[in-house]
Amino acid sequence: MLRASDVVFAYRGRRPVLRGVSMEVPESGFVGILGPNGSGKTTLLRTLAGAVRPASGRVTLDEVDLGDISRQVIARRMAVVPQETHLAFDYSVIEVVLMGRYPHLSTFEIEGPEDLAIARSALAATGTLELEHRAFDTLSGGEKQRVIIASALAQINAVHLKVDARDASNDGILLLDEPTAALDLAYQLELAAVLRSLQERLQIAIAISTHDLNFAAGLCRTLVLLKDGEVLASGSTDDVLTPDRIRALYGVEADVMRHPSTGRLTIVPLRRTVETPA
Amino acid sequence: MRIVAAVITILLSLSAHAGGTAPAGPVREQPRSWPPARSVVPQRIVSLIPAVTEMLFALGAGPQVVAVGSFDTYPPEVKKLPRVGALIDPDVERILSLHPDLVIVFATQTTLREQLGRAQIPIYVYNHAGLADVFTTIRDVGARVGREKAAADLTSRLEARIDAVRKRIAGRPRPRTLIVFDREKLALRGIYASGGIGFIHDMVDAAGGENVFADVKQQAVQATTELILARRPDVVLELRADPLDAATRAQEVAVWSALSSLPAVRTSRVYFLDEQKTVVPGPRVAEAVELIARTLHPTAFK
Amino acid sequence: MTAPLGRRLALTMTGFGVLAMAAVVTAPLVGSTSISLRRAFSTTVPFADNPDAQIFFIARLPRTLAGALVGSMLASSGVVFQGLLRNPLATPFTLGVSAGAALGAMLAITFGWTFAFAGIAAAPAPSFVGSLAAVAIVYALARARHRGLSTNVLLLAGVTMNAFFSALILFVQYFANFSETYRILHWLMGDLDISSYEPIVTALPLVALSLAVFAWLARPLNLLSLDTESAATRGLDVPRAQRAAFLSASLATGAAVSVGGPIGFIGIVVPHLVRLLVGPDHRLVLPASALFGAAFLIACDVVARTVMAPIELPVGVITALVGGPFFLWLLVRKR
Repeated sequence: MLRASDVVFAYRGRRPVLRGVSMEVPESGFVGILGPNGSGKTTLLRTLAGAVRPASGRVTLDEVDLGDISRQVIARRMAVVPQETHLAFDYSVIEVVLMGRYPHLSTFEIEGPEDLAIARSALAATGTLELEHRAFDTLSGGEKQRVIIASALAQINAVHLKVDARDASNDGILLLDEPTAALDLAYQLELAAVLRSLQERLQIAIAISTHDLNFAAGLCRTLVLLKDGEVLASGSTDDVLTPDRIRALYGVEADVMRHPSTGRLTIVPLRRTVETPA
Repeated sequence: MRIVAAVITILLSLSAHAGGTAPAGPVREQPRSWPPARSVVPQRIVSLIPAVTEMLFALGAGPQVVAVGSFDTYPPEVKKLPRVGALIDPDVERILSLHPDLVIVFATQTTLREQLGRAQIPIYVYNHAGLADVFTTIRDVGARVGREKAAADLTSRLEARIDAVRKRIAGRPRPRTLIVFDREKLALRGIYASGGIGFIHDMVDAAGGENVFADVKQQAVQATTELILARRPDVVLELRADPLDAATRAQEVAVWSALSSLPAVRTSRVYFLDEQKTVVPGPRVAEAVELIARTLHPTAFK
Repeated sequence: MTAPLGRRLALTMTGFGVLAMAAVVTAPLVGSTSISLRRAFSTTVPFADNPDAQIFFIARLPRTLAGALVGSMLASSGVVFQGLLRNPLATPFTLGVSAGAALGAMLAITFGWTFAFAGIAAAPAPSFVGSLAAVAIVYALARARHRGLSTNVLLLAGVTMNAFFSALILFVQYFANFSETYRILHWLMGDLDISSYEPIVTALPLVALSLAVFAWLARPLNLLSLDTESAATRGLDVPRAQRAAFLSASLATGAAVSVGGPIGFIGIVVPHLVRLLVGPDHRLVLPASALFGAAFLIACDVVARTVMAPIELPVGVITALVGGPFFLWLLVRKR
């Protein structure tokens, strides 16, 4: 389990972006980090991934401080899917996915048939196997996103290689930063479906940072509401996502209801909150 | 940085041709001496060219020289004179402030020529070429400064001396000579040798040497290791303007021992002539020819 | 890209290796003079009496080996710089290394600073020192603002260094006389006629070290192509990899420039060509570029010394004549 305890973080010479944040990423399931722009979501994700070190507080993986674990070992457990990926050179899709195998190979070791099988399995899991030999830069935004997810899955070994589904469970953690930001509506739905199916089959832990209320509500059972670098509320989605909380987080009056077709919480923003004079 | 290199290339390559490029404005190639020679003898001469400076002093016009170029060192009197720059960096303001009535300039210094033309200052345009041109220039300069007789005397004396050398070494076998006038210190790299054109080639030819690069119709040849080994010089003559101390000279000569198959190395005929007279196409060419002849044919001068 | 990497690596190394070997073996056989090979390799004629042997072993062979060394170093460090700066248009000279080397060489030539030891000519040692100075300044600037190595600051610092050193070069230029200016120009256009094995022997340890570090850098450079964060989350120690890339490529460039002068276009033409042939995986591109760079420069040098015999063109002119049109073609064909 990945846990942040009282994390404080500031970029060099700037005001603190995270001011004492505590949260957990459960062993299996979705957790959403929700908040407006500038709330510190991306930074929180980076500290959870171990990419940056907190100024104070700790981030622990199975009770061990991330700073005490080697980069390679962390990488085998945890993978990050950034908002956008721009390649400097024109690698093919399969080459990009194989880059996820880096933490599993020693310095001069070359990817073997097993690595290749894992990579192709990861592509299949995200429905992108037929793009295997395409140049990454020629893909659409949605396709690129799914390929990067496949690379992340290959990194944490979260793929079906065994025939027996019982052995398919995985203690890997996937962190996604604003995955819907650059996607069309169709791809957003597709992404949600892919993530849901992945989580069901492989039982991995998935943390998503986003400002898209409905996307988070539809996918995540637990939420962490982040405002100005502090946790406004955290807990189960049903408990946490209330009109009061949304008002406090976004300054917006919204209706929260359970949608008849999907059965999930749906948020409809109504109008901006007007400050009523005392 | 590449732009700088390109600019320098253009400048230097222009200096290898006579005449230069046409300046912007009315296209008119100016004659060697402008304005046409007047009866007035110049009293305030500025010379940017070391060879011409020497000529002026040799002709007795030394007292009229008021300033010289950055690289002039002979005769010793010039050391006291103010400097006004050289080929690439003539100091126009300084020149004008001296109120000259004759300025000796390089053919390729088109900007300077324009500027002096606008200021109505008479100029003499110098072109650098072969040995025969040295005498032509002496006579031209002599005419320009009102010393025709001195010029005629000087040129006949010099020509006579050189002829005497030719006679001395006539009939003797002419050694194949590599004439180096520049290279890196203490290394056989960046070697510049004299081609088959120019006063250095002519001097060595008069002194009884056969330039190994006589077939290359350029003043300077970049002599690579392969070329030198292929041409197999009997003698290596290194000409330098600045004198070296004995120890350094010995070291520089020793550098050639790496090319042990050269006849010059095997017969120990690598010579360093570190005297300025050997590289200035001025009145001291006759001395230089004598020095070179003595080096190439020591037995002829016993 | 379907064949497994192991096989592609073997094929690439063999193919380019053969090319490089062919270049090294045939180049000394060609020249502006015709020599008798039998005589050159004769064991009965003493070396000092054997001009054919001297042409082969003093004029041509060191030159060929220098071409191999300089070509392989410039091409492979070009690949490393492009990976480090995540920009296929980066060259070994982008970050100011060659400007520092040029200043060092110029100072040596103009003010006669000679470090003539071990038979090496005047310019190499000062030019290497100059390149080290440039590297040190750029590195210090890039690290000042960051615990790691910011590539943006690196680029800015490098470009600034180039401009600054160029200004200094112009300044020194002013003190140079005719012959010094000519010699500086000559050095700037590249000269592989080293006529001795000492410069190669001296540079060899640095070359070996650079190649070893490059081998280690191949996979990290692949990861850095994603971006530094993605590389870090895949387990790469990004600051260490960037430091290693910057320092090794800079030293390799400095060594190459000190042997043959700042010969342009190799560091960008060769990597591009190689990528067109083998794809972007650095584990193929790096060794292939080193081998192809050697062959390429040797070939350019052969052209330079034979096309207008007995006059010899500067090798940098040939690489530019090949590289320029190649570049135009690249720009035109890009989407």
